[in-house]
Amino acid sequence: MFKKELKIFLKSATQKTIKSDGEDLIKKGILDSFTMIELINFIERKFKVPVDMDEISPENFNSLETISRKIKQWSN
Amino acid sequence: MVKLVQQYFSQSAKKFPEKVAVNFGNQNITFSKLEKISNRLARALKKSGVKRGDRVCFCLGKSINSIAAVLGILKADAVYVPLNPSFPKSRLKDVVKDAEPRLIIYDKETAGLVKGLKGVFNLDKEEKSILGQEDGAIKYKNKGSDLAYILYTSGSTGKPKGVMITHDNIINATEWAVQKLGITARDRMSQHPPLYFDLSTFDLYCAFKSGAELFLVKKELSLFPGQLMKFIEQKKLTVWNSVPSVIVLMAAAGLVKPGRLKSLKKIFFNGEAFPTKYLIEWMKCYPQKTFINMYGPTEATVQSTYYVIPKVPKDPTRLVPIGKACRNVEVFLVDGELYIAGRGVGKGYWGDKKKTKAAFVSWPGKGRVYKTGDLARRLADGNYEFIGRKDFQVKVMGNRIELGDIESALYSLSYIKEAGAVALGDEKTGGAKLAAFVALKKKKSSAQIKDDLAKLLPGYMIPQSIEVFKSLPKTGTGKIDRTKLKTSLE
Repeated sequence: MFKKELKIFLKSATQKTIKSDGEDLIKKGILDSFTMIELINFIERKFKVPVDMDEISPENFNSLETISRKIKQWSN
Repeated sequence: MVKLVQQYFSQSAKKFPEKVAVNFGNQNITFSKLEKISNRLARALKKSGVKRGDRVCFCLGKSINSIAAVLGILKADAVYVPLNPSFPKSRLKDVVKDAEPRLIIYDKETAGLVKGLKGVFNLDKEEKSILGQEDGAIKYKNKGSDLAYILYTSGSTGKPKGVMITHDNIINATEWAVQKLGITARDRMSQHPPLYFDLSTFDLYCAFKSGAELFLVKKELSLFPGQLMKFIEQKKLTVWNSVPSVIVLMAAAGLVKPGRLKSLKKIFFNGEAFPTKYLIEWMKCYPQKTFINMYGPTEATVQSTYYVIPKVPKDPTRLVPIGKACRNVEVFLVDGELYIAGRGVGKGYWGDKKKTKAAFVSWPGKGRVYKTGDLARRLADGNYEFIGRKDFQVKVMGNRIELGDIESALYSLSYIKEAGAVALGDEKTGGAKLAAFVALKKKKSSAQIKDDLAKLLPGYMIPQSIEVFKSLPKTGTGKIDRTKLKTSLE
């Protein structure tokens, strides 16, 4: 869930290839600080969930896998 | 007053031996411990053949070790040359080839990057030999006019250029900063910029001189403004220094709220313009904090001018001034271009007399002068205001980039026929982002081109968008027309 949409968004926003759902997008340089803000706007708009800025961290918000887990948590 | 910058640290180590000097994550080190370990490292480096004036590179991630490396290299009478561990190998090699270092210090994390290079020094493997050295004070051979560091910056033809800065240059900048900005041993300072970025000179030497405690900020925290804010609060930082984009993100993420960041007193920003819209937000929220805009190219040592922002700016579309010259610095305009004279002016570009001669000139009555390439105007109250660039240098998240550097990387790819790079204003953040335009000999996707560029350029230099055209617009003289390219996206 959410992974597919996230992948499409990030691919078009960054024009970079994401190899797997578990790939570390920060280490790979796919997520930079500007893309991060765009991603957060996208998540709030598309999935209608508020992103908790105090909660997300380099450990729990770094791959398609972990990001979609957070979105799931917020939508419940 | 000290003659060499490492003496700042030694003096503080005498005054505050048991005080913590540097923090990183859960680790910290006291002044006396860091003093001793850097003395040992200096002796180990000398034993490995490092002599006065030798360049010593270090390729280390953010760590207490990297700070020890800086001190150790300086104490060995050598010149430190920080290498960016996120550089692609080809670019790293260009820098090393140019700097001709005696040694390259690295650790297990950067081993892959330095593999195959000559004169490498593995910090982990050499630990025993370092710890076997004496830890007492060292007699220095260096003079104040000797080089302390060489920092590499983007060059317009695709070859990075090394900016040479002396001990005396740094001492001039530091004496002014500590006194004028009131930094004391009670301060808890951020250390955000990487050491290959000249902004770090401010953090390091202000803390070393004053005895303030440094808190190294992990690189990935910059992506998480919420965590960054918590970091400042938990560590009770009193001084923050960084490029504006990091601070802007906190505002863009809606985190700038009253009651937060209580310990923070002074916020310094440097390296690019702070979008006034966000500055207004910050200043309205925290009227008690001091906001200082600093300006200065690497060639003239961290800060050449400064502006203490007196009150919340009124016009969100107008940049705040870069202010007036710091002590022992003189700035003046020649045909709208800002020139810098005084004790901050560095020695030029390492091994490049031609580029040095073009940018550093001798001026009657003012000595050596650096032509910044920045366009500015002088306001009625004597403050200077930054207008733009004379050439094709841009700033993205504080990173200084020559558009020609990106174009030359693109042209080096066999399938590129034509290439042009531009910087576009980003409405949301007020910063800039890079875009490239290419015409191809062979079909390639933007993602493929980006993958190839990543082998040549650091991440921050890779354009966010790459547009493929049949052919690129040209100017009357046959050059790629950047202005037309820019408007094609607007």
